[in-house]
Amino acid sequence: MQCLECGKNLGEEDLAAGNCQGCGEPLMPEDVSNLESKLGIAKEVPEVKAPVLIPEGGIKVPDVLICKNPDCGEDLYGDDIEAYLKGDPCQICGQPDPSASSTPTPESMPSQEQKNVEENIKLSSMAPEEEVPVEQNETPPVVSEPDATSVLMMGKTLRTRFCSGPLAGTEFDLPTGIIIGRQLFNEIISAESKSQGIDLGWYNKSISRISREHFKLDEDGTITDMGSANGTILDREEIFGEGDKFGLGNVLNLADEIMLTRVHSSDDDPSFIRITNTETKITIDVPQGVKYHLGRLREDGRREPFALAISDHMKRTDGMNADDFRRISRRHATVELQENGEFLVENIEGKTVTINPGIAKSKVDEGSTVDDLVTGVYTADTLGDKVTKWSGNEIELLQIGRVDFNVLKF
Amino acid sequence: MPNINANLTKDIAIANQSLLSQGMISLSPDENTSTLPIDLVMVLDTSGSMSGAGVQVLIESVLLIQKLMSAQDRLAIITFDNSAQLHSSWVGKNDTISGLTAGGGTNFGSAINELLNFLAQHGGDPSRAGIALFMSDGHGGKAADDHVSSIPDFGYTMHCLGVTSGVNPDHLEHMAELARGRYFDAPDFDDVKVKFAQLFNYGKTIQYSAPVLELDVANGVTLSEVMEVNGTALAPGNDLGPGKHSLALCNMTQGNVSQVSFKISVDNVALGENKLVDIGFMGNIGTLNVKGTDINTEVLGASTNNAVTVSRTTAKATRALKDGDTSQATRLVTKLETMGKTVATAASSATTLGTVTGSTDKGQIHEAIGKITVNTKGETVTREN
Repeated sequence: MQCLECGKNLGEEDLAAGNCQGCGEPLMPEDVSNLESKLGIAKEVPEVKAPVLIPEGGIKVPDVLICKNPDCGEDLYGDDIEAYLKGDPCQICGQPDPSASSTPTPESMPSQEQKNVEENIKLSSMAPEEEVPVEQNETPPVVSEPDATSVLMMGKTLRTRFCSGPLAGTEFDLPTGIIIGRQLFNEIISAESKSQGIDLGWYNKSISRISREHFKLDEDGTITDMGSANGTILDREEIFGEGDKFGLGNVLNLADEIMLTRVHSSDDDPSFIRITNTETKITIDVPQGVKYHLGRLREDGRREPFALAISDHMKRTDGMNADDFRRISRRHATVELQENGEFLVENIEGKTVTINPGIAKSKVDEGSTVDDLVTGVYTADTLGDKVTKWSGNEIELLQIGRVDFNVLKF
Repeated sequence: MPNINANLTKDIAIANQSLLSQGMISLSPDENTSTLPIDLVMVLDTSGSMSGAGVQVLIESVLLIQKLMSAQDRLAIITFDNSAQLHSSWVGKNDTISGLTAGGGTNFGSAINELLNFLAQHGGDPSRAGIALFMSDGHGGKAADDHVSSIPDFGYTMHCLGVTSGVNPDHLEHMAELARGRYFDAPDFDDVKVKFAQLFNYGKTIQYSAPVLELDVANGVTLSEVMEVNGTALAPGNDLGPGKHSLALCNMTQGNVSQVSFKISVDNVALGENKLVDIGFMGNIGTLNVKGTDINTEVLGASTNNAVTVSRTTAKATRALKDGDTSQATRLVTKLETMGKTVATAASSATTLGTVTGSTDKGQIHEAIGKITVNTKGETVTREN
């Protein structure tokens, strides 16, 4: 039994305190009862259930199942469905399926998910151990059962990069057409930890919050949440079932922890810009013609996902100070690669936006079509300086308030 | 004197070990404490965007407030555009107030500075309920956070009223939280008079105005995520380590209880009684303790304090709503719903928060959160006024 917040395996010390001793979250009454039963110190004798016989070929698990309790009727997803079909109570109302029998209805064909699991068991068992390394950190994410994915999966992949943690900027391939879960990220992060020789305990809690069957990507980037416990969020919008495409300029957030961005590929339009926060190395590729906002809030008042990734990283990393980030305005500035190849930087409501401070005027003039003086500080109060253009291949230093970005043109 | 209760999730723990727990300090006003006469300072946006119908509504609202005032209440008005000025110092129910005009830009910083100048001369009287009401469409030059958060030092809370359909409630809600106040949403000018009346009626129920909670944290103990049940962060971004801390709370009103919840870590629980925090509030004192024992079965068999879990989960849910994290809020409300099957106070929290999570309008969400409080039965409820 794991803490839903931090993934710690709960035990006697947590029951004694009434809180998870990993993150301090309080245990709910049902958590306490379950833990007491597990530890054999239940105050009441738990109900003994008849053994469930799993038919050959497995149990077909639908994408969504509605609780049959008429007072509940909530949608169940993922692991909750499987448990419900096996006779466990609904995770929402606590009532079991009133029509459930001890033996589930057999299906002639196993589900796609089960096929994936079986396939991965084979692949994992065939693979040399060093190809599927498991990091041994102080509190390693526990993956006791085979997951629905493996890095050995074949097929088209989408090039992706980490947008949070010490691996920010590190690229890897996400497989398409199969269900992706905790094990894949455990394997990737463990492998990177070994190859880069760095401690990646930063991700322990993050991985534990990813479900075993979390999401699926189609070849065109369409993302489908598989009923994950802690959610799949694309640009701050939670996905239920099939969602939008994970493309350039989007931030994918798994379980509110692991953040990812797409890397430009040959299938994408050829021109794009690459924006990197120089302190955290958090990077995003943005297609030509998109005004990308570098500020804290979107127009609808919700948090900008790219900015959120940077501030979250700063807050959680020793030696980084998120205070400078908090001084960025809610709506600050946009940067865009225009069709003519020029950068367009617009200060919308920000206090200060600075472009390439300190670069000599002569350098600016070379190949530049800028009408205004390009160096200097642009403030929202000064009309006429709100928009500026830059025709080089790179904005070496774009300062949004006191936070530094590098913008490269491709 | 007010009543102080302080508890952990479990008030007993394994000795000679560290402990990570949740805690709550519950503060109830003395039943014999009367409500306070009101000192209301209205800080009114008279910039160009308020000209015409807007300024007319302001004038009518001020006249309405004067009608609602009792003989003991006082009203002052600060107006601001590019700069701020004291329009009227203390006036009573029957005094005449000169007219208002609108024009120019919007500078929140000047308005807050003028308010602080005024409070430096007239604030700090514990026998009066100090209320500042900041009214604007939310678009303007920002005031410094530390200036806004110093308003409670004068015994005042500042509430913000967001007007016009294009209001930016985030900015105003942020200022209201820093000044321990509430946000009122008035997208139409027709709403403004109603909200003014609501605020004034709320003011009439105040028993302790911007009260201060004094904490003396023992060595080896740290409090974090210190919040009131409406999600107001009392020490934003800071942990409270060993030593003395003063926390400005939101107003305490008739029939309501203030709950301050937090995460607490203890480096080592000694055998026997451990005093974790000394608490001082409005002349009364209390302590937060944990008993250390080496008998495991005693700790495992001890019941958990559900009130702490409910308060903590409610506060985190309201905080998530304030931060716009509706998925996190929904998860916490689902937890409360499940817990509500056996714990009545959890059910009341889930019901109260459930109505807020269903709203998509930010202004309405902020206003609804500001109304959340706890009644004397420990139930999370919405204020009527």
